[in-house]
Amino acid sequence: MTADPAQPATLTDEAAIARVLAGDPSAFEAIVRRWQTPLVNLAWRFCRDRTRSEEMAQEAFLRAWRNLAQFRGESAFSTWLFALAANVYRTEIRRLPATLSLDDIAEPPDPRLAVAAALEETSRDESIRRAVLALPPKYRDAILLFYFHEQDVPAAARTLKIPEGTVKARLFRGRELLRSKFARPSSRTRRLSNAASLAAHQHKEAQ
Amino acid sequence: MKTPRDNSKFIPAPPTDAEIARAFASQRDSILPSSGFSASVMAAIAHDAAAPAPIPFPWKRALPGIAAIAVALALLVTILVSMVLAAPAAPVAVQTSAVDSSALMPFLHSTQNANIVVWTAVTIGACIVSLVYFRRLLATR
Repeated sequence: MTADPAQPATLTDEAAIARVLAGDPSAFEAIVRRWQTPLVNLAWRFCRDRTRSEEMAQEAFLRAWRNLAQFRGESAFSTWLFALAANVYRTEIRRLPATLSLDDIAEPPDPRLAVAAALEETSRDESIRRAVLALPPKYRDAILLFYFHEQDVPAAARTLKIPEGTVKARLFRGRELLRSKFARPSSRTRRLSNAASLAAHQHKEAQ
Repeated sequence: MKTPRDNSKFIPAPPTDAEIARAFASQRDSILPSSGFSASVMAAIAHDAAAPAPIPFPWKRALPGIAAIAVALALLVTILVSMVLAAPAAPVAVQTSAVDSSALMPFLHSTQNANIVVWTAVTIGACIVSLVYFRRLLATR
């Protein structure tokens, strides 16, 4: 990337950091512009709430700004930034968990919509995402970071600051837990399934 | 009207690895920051930059107080250790009833125990002085 000293937004990360540390806060805009989408998306995966994910990402950027002098350049800036952001998000989610419960997870798609395969697939995806958020934090974080980094175990390990072997073990255990949650539907799910089934049956008979 | 008996078809199957990967694929599960997001972050940073730097802890002013507390604690530990070492081998039955306070008088009148009382009072006094000093120090900030 070419750096244009006149335009802070086009600075490289290294140049922006140097300028910020030299006392030019506006140079941080280049970092914000470059990393806002990944950071908001990572926050989104932790909370699944657009407003909150932007608030969390803003907090992560603020934390990065305050601790920029601690970045020694030993790793890529993105590694440092993601690790810091993941830490902020995990703390925030621990303080105020995403409003999900296992009862809300394994909901079957409405049978009347089952004909629409795309809708069903979307519903299935959402169920999986919510189920992952309801996992114990260490398994949830491993799965979220692994897929956020496009299934890159070393990148997830660097962000979580844990060994790669630990990430793999947590991924394996997390997936197992996830499957067990789906295999064991809650009483509410069973009740809703029965109701949906009955409604579909009545609808069919009425026709 | 017939009631369906087999509801098991509505129990979702456990997700496969491919399904989990699909659910979290970036092209399916991503959002874009709102248009004002970067401006909002930069405003927060400008506000943070304009704020005065946090006041460092006044180590120079606090040092005498910390030293006083350390000395008081050391004295207290010394007194307690000397009390334990000076205790007789055989347990002495001392009446500690609040009603019969006269039983404590021989204990207090002995020279050694009087020293202990004095040193304990000095230690407590040092602690109180340190606390007052710190409260005044904090009040001036």
